[in-house]
Amino acid sequence: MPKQKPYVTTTLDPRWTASIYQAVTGEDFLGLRAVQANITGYLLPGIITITPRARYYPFYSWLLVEYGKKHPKGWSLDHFIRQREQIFALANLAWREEAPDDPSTLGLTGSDKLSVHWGKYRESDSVPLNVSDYVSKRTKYAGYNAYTGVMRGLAITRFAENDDGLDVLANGQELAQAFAQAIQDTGYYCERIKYDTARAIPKDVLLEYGERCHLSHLARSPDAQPTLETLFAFDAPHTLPHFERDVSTLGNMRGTLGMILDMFDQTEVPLTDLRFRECITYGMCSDFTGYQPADPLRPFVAHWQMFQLREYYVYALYALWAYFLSWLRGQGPQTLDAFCEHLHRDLDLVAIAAEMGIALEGKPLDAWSLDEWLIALLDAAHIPGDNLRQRCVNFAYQSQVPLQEHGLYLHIEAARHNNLAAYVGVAWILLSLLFLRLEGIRPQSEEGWSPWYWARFGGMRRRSLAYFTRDMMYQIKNNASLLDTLRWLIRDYVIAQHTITALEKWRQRNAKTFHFNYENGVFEWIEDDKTGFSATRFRQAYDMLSDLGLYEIPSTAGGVPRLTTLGKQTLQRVLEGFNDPG
Amino acid sequence: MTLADTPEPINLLEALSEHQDFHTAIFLTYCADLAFFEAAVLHRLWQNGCRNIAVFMDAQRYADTLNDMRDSIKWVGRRYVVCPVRLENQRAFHPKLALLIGPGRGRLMIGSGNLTFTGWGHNYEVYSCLDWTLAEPDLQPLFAQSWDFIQQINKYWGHSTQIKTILQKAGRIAPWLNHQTSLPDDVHLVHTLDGSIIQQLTSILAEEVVHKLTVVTPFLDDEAMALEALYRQFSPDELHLILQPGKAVGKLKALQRLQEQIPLRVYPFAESERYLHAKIVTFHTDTASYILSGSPNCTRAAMLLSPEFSNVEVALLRRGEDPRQFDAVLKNRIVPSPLQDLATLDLQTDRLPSDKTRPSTVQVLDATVTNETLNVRYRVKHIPDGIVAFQLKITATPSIFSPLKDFGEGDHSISLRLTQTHAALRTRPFAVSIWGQDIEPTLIDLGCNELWVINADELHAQMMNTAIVSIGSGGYLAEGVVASDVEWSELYKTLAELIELDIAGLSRKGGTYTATSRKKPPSPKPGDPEKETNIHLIEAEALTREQADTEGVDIERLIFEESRFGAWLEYINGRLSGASEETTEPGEEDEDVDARAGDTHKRGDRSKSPRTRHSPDPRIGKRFINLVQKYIRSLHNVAYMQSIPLWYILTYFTVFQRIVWLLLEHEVIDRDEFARLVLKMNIGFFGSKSESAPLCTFRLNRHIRRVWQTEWQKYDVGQYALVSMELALRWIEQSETASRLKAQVTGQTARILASIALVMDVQSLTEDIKAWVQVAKVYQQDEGELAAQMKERIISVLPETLTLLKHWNLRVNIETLATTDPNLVKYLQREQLDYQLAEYRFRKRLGQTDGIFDLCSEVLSRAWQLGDLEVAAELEEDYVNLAEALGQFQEVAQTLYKQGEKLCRDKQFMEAYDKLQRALAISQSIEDSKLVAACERVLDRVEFFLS
Repeated sequence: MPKQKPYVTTTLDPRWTASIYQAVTGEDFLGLRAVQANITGYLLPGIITITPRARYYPFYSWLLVEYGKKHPKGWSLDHFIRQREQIFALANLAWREEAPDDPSTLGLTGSDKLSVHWGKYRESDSVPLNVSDYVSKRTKYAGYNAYTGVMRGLAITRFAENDDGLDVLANGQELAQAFAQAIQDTGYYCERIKYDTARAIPKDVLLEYGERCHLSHLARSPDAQPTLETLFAFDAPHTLPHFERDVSTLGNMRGTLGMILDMFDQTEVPLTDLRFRECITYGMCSDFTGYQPADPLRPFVAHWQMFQLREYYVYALYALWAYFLSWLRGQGPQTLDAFCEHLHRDLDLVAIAAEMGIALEGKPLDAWSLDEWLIALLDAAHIPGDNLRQRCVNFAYQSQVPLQEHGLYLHIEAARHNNLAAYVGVAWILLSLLFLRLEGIRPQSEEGWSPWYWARFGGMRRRSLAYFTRDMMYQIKNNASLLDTLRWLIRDYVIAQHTITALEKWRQRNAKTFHFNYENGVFEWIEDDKTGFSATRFRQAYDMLSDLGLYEIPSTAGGVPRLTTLGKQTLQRVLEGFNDPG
Repeated sequence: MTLADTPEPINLLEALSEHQDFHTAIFLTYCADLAFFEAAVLHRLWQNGCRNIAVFMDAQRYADTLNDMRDSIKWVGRRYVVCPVRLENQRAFHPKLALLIGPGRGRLMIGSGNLTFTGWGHNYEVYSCLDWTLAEPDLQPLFAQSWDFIQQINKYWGHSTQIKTILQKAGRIAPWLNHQTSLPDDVHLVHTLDGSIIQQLTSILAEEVVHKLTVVTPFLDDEAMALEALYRQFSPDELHLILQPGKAVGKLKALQRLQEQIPLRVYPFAESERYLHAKIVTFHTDTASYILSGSPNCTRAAMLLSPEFSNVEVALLRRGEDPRQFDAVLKNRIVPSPLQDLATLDLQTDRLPSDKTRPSTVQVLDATVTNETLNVRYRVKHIPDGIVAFQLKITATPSIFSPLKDFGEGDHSISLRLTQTHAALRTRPFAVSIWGQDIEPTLIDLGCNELWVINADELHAQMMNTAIVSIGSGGYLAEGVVASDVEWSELYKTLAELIELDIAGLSRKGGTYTATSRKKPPSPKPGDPEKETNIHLIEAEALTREQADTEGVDIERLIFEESRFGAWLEYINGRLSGASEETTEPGEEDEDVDARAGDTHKRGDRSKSPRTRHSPDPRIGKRFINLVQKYIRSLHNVAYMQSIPLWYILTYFTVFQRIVWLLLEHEVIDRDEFARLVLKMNIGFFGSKSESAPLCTFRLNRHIRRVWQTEWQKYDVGQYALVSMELALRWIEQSETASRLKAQVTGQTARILASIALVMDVQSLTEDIKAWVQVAKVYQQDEGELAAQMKERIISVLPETLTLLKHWNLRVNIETLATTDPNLVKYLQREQLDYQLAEYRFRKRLGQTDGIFDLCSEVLSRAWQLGDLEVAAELEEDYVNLAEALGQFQEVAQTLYKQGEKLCRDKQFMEAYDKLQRALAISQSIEDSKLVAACERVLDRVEFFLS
């Protein structure tokens, strides 16, 4: 909170009240997505959504080592990085135009400003080095800023003792050396000290350097192998350690990247982020034809499944939230009772289910018990079993059922957020299915370390999956109707969750992110919100595996990736590593 | 600032947390966003140590909040209490007021904003913020009136025992609130419990001729009656109405009609971004101006109706000597030219939802968890047709229903022991209501109000869990190890901050605090009790009041336990509630890290690495010795001992015993010095050999009394006294230079034991294993050995102690006989019972049979006479045995009969049967036909119940 003027104590005069917030934007207004970030951080600690290119690992390692050895007197690391990274980016842009294979500069740091700069000077003999704000000056260490965490996670660097700078570890030194080797016979390398303080750089120096340092040329460079070793963390002693133990999760890189290679090896369709989500959701189901993980990778798929189940769950809650706001905008200010009356009057679950391909015998929402509803869904999906728990277990390991989470998600995604049927009806069916699947997956004992840990992660505050299933069971025990249940979800999982989150954001950042006002028992619309998934980091892993040359997409394959020889060898190495009892 | 300047806007949250010396916060509001309250207001109050907090809000809005927002609320009933105010006749409880109270400071905030995010930080609202301090007490009457207003509200509409306690605590902490002084003429608190707003304005402005009247309001009644009434009442030349276009609520036609009749000009409010919710009325006269600001809108319900039909509103009316005094408030807020076409105002209709509450036949009045038991009070107006039973609904996840035994009309109370089934209720707020049940049985919603349960256990524990910056230093004392000069300084700072020795009777001289009188009090002369008798007269009145005010004692105790010192002590003793962390699921951030800041120094943290003792710098050591000596002086200061709450007397004693031990262990003092200090402390606390009975000694007669037995036991007072003397004696016996000291210490032990005997049974003290373990740990002694040594020591001084007790009894007898004041006589008789009881117990323990029957008989009859059933129960069996041994069967039979009858009344029929059978047999053998008949009559009843 910014420091305000000292408050003058007493005055008898009435005074106008000051506003207590700043109007700023934000995200995750229900505060539910932090949990997913924890799961991806655990399973893929060396890659985040803003670190898409593998070559930056050796490049930044080299920068750090070089800075440690020698840098212009009085220069901060930030200053040093901004000069060399600017040259690196210009070299990448320069070479892209000359290269026969049109190498990608996707994920090139500073490309927005530097592309313009390069465009301006591409015909000149030399290019000025005066765009040090290619990344905002407020971002310390420029592009390296994004990579600092993951490079520590990959044991490339670490904080020095006594908080005195950084240590570049053996891994990092090896990467640096390999990168230097890749560029060592360029003019730039030879005169790099001179260019550290130069105001401009000849274009031909850039072109020569660009050919060697290009982001897309990693696979054929000497730094490819050490980068692969680092990213797959073949030496890491542990995989899937207990999250709360003070043990490095680096070994999980091997499992997750191996799992993705395993998917490449099996897939008959292009492997998009959505397809990846489908594979991790149903990979544990014996009837899923899209992906059947190799045995050593099944534990990783089980952990990733918890990630994606929570994604569907959060997506569905956000859909309810988006619809509630949209309704409030049109009908408000209104009470919660009025919203529930609207659902009671206008929500036709039978029709929605029919559209989804299942026939249900309908009742009014207030006369349809949650128990009956869930049984009806299981009946419609022809799931056998003697009791609810048994039927849930049977449901949990099937993917070929009439109603399936991924299909429902696609249905909602195609609708607009004022669509009651999709945003409330289908979202509710999605939540119901998630309950059934989670109940089936839930281990008999919730103690100990298992993928179910992620269902408990976030607790009440982040509406964990375990709390959701528990609360649903309570609703069943209370003989709650569907209307009661929807009211409860809207009230506790949407309205309360937003209220708590907005207040937390306000307390932390003085930010007003309320999407409604609540006063005198009435909700008043302020702004809309939308639903969506959070990032899987799959896309970044996908690009890095490409950088490393582990797969290719033949022009005739219709976008379907195929493992290269190195890719097959690497997958084999991953699997053998798990099989090796040592 | 000149009159033309616009005052700085007020940030209400900053105004709330500007000072740290508030104990209590009371809020009045129409509606409250309790999630906001917890995150913004409660959080700040707790950080500042203000933890006695209550919110009064309109019952309908309370019901909305419970219905719509319950899951976003975490601390209601656990860190603060909310009282729904249910008004009849469609009235609204509408005031907006915050009152912060501390012993030496008060802050009063009166305005227009409800206790919501928008009301406190978004809307255009106006607030006045007033302070009272000891140095600037002018506004005290406003505070007293506000306090009275709150008390009235609670009296009329409050049903919660916990809120009553909160208000009582506030009253005790800030007695200045109750002083009656006159209010300056230029400021008035106006509220609708005293009459309608317009009546009060008329009365205050009676002498004034109003030229211009300006009204700012977000709401007008449908007929603009209040606006018209203001005009008719004050007949101004101009009537200005300020409304916010597109937001203000009212009826266009009413305004148009009014404009045709009176000189009404309507101005748009100049700002549109934020909602105008302020309510202001200004009056301009030739020589002065007035401004009314607060909760009342310009509506009939707020301004015109008499108290039984109007809303509850509160506002502040201020008079300015300059006609332009308040112009700055509206400066730049109003469009300069009046509206020509009122339709452009785009007036709105009321946004409030219709009141859905239907009159219920059942109302929950109060719901509290105390000692793991849920207590619910409810009122049944009449039983609806078809309802055959009531069920208590506990609204939690999942809901729980429990049948209620009391079904009739009227007020009822039920208690429900919380079990494992109710585990969830211990960590989250929950609510209760009452449902009906028909013959089927089907549960039927009777429309009964839902009430959040106040978890008094948790509330109390949370209040005790006070954030003390230096709580960690308590660990040094608990551990008995101070490892550096920094830690010593830290401990000293804490002690200096928490222990209040500098109160009435002590005056500051030359930079240090010293007792007013350092002169040794004159030794009492035999046969000259006059002075002591005089002292008793004063004291007896105070004590009589004290006894009558048992509720007050409870409040004092609560205040002590919830004080920073109380919490610190609990921390040292390892009893602090909340010391065990709540279990949280993985990934669940603690939202209230700041409020728990005081808990960060866990004793366990230090226990990880063993620490070694460090002798402090001599200057630091000297400061500690000075502190101990200051404490000893305060024990001899009569004014101090008479004014300090009892709990402090007892706990300071144990804390200083520990400090002296700490000084010895860290070689700040040697053993002789230890013995001397300990002796002085014990003399200060128990009196010296030359002093009279504690009852007759002014500085001792408050704390050496049997009524404080529980407190003595809780703080192990007796054990600390005896052990410290024992250790002192042990070393003195080895010393060749301290023979005089040895005699003093030996004699003092008997006095200590006699004093303990006045408070509790010495046998229970010797058998209190837990206490011995605790004290042995502090003094690093083997607990078994220590207990055995102490037992031996006690036995060795028993005869001397008995002599002392006999002497004291005699003195008390003399006092009683010399007194004519009936109140004092009653008080002395009660005290005499304690003295005789102590003597009786000692004689019994020593096996002195001579005269013991008479003493037992006398104590027993006094106990019966005074209604002290506890003492009677202890002695009755002894009495029977003694009488039987002496062949006094009549007395035996009578006593047994009395016991039997009482047990019968207490429904302990088996025990009653035995007593009565014995009484019957003896009365038959001595042929006491009257007693036989009496025994048989009661036995009939007992047998009936037994069968």
